[in-house]
Amino acid sequence: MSETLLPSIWFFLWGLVWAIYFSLDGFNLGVGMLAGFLPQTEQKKLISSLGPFWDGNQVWLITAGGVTFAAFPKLYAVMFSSLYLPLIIILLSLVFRAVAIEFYHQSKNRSWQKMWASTLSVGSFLVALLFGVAFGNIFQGLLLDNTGYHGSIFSLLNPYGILTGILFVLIFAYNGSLWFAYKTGSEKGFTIAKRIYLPLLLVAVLFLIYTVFATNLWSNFLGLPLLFVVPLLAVVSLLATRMLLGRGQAAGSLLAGSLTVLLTVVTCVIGLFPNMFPSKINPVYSLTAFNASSSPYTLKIMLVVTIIFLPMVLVYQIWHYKLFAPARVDEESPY
Amino acid sequence: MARVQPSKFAAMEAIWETGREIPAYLVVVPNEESESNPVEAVGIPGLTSFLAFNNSSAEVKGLKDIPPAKRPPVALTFWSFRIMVLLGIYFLAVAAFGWYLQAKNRLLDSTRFLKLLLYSIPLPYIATNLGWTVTEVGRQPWTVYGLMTTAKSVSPAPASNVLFSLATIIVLYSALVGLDFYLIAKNAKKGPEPISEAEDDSTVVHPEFVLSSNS
Repeated sequence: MSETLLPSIWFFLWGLVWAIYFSLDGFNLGVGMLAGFLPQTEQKKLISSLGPFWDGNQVWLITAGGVTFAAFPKLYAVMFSSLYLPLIIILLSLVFRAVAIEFYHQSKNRSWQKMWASTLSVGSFLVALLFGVAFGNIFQGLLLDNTGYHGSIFSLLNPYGILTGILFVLIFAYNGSLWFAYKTGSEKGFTIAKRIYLPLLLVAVLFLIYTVFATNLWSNFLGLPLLFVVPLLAVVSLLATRMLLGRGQAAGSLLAGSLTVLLTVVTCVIGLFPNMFPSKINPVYSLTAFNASSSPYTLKIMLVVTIIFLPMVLVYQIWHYKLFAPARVDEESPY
Repeated sequence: MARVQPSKFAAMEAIWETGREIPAYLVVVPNEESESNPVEAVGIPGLTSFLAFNNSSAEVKGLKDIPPAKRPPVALTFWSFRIMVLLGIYFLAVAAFGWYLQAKNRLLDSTRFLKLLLYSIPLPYIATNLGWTVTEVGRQPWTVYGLMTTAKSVSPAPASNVLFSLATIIVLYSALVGLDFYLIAKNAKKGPEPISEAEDDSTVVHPEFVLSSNS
């Protein structure tokens, strides 16, 4: 077995787990963002509809962290100490989101509910925005040398980072409103989705163009043009979701919207390979799949475990979505 | 634990001298400065050795055979463990007594016992945290036992950032503790709901429904 094979496999598994996380929790975060702006009945239905899903989706985030720790310990150490403050804010926002979802139903008092709905909105928004900013910065490279990271939270807030953050927020909010339409059949969900789509499309185009200038993500694709299929499919699904939305097919539209997120993240991961935490200062300081990975023995054991359990988790989650699909929430039942 | 983290075990049990057939004492007061236990009473011969290795004559490593710089804080580890175990015994006793009262059909009339249960609500949380203290404090000065010290695993993130996160987490979680107890009290005051017949008819019962209607 070649020396680079195992780390490469793990690199793409790492990317895949992130992609699955963003495509699933993306619409949960979107729902969260919307919740604060809705009248009581719709708000209640919407927050209830998150009940059986948000925690399962968040497990993918924990898995992404776990994969980083186990397969790429050096990346884990450098990433969590370099991006300490933004990651702590993401963590706290996730805590607030979880608490808000669970506490919302604990009282019928309207100001209590309003407080938790607003908390949910702010928390979800921050998670989406900051993950976008963090990944945008990883795509374009960080101020990293052999002594560590030399930026601050303000150097992360550069135009490309912020643009990626806005892209995340918009596409999550879009998918969230599709979930709203799909779960409650509400006309309002369709209307919000339609209203978000145009800004989303504009930001997506801007992101594609800016990526050419701000990052090296396209060089892997130019080396192997066949790979362009992936971003092409991402664009196709971004267009398909609007078409399905126009036909009033909420489920199909949501599926296409989530697929857009999945394929966009996979595109960026392909473009990143083998870099995981690239240095803007000098590529020799970059953390890659090869210099940040665990021992081949560790990677091999983990791969066997993953091959057994990953399909099981996927099957279980698909079953879970099917189980809760037909029973649309109404006011009487909490879910 | 005695096998893989002997210093934690020694601190937990306040064992200073390495030896065989180490007894377990009911009452112990350790003193870190004198490296001894000024108070040791009611010992059961060989019990500590037995608990550690399933063999009452097994050798248990004492703290004096571990350089002071590589020992965990003994008093904190020891007392956390002792108090946790005492609480555990208290829980067993309370549960057994509650069982006894229920069997005699006197549980709901025993006001004082029910009050005791009410005021015991925070204790399991305390016990859990004491257990966590034993695990984490008892592991010091290591992050990875024998391989990496805590001092060497500190993040290069600026201290101000760490202070911010620590302060935020303390404030946030304290607020959550308050909110949690408020909600527990609010729901408890409602009293138990009668089990409705409708419940048996519905085919889909969410676990939370079952919980709330049984409580």
